[in-house]
Amino acid sequence: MAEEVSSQMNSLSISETNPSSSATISLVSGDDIVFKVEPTIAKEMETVQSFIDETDGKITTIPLPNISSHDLPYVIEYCEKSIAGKITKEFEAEFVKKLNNEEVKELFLAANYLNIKKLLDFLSQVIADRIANKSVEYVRRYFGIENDFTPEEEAKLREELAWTFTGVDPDDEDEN
Amino acid sequence: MMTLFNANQIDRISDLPSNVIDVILGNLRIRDQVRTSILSTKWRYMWTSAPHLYFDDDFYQRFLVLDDPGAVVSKIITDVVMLHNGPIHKFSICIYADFDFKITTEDINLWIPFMSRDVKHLELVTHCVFKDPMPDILFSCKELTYFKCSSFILSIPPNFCGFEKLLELHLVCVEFESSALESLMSGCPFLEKLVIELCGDFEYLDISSPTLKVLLVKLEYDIKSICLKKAKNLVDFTLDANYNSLSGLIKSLPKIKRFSMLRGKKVREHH
Repeated sequence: MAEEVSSQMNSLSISETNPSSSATISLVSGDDIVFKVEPTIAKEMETVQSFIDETDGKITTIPLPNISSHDLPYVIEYCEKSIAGKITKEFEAEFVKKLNNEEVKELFLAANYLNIKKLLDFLSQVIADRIANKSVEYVRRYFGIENDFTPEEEAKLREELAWTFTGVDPDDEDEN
Repeated sequence: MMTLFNANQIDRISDLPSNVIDVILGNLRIRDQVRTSILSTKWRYMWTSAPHLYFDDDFYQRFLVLDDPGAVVSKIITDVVMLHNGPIHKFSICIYADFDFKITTEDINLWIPFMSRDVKHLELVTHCVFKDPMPDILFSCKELTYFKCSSFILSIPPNFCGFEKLLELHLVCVEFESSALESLMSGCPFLEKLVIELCGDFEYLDISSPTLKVLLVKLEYDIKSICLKKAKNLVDFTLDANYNSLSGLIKSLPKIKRFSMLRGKKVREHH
């Protein structure tokens, strides 16, 4: 059964690395695309590495159902740079420029799921920058949060925390 | 063009464990951080466990229109510290701009007990020049790795047990009681970086920390003597002060890699 799945995955592989290398690790995205990566990349992903360790390295195909094939290449790119010691402010600025808000959130969730501390810290900063000085309504939309306060509760809270509101950006239409 | 927000998106952030959300909250300035409590009932107390609290110029300047912004700001900081629930690892009050805000001994004695067991990174910096003795409570923060403070008179309490983990110390506009700096330094066995900036006029400076790698001294007045004989591991030394006997000083530093003299009567020397 496992072999069958694995061969099917190989056929979907879009990796450029040599598939004959037995050491490579196959990461399978939620939409069943296989990404072959060097074991050093897997090491950056604590969740993947502990899975490999638990099976004494016998299993090298790791399903990552929570991560899409759209997001996984970003994660791999960041890990590659990280291993090469090339995470610079410039790289991070370029990296984040490519990402819309939805992607930043997805990658944040992926970094959390894979337990990649550096990426998680970096994306936390990106998210914090993107919601800095934004209205409550904006931040709710940003995270997709449903407001479950009653209007009275919310009004009371806003009054108590009035000092956090002066000079907050007007609640403009969403820009992109 | 992609839209910024997907109308039917599912909120997957709110259900993350609080320690993950804390990482985001920890990167927000205090007003943004506390304002998250209005997002939803799940977020109501989320910020209270964020381990970092930052109060900066941006925070302070919102209150400038008030008659007595300092009192309001002190009260808000007190409320935030008291509402906070969980370890505070980083606590920063950095009011650099020329605002008339003073962190009083009473404030320190009120705030610090809420964090003294956990705080690793502590900054208490304001523009105010009025000086009080440094409150003893600060010396009980044993976990400190980074400490920056301004506008105090440094006197070391007799029961000071040292900052065993301190790596970086910045003293800005601090005055020293006799031999207080030496006593403080001897209580910091792992100190790597020391910054002394515009501190009261003292004629002699004796830095005897063998672990020190980076030293920056910026003074308004002439200094007569600097002794760094025991600071054998110093690699980076910046001196911004009027000082005459440079050559002897540099020769006493075997590991020095970078030396900057920003002012002085003698020409700069290379070693």
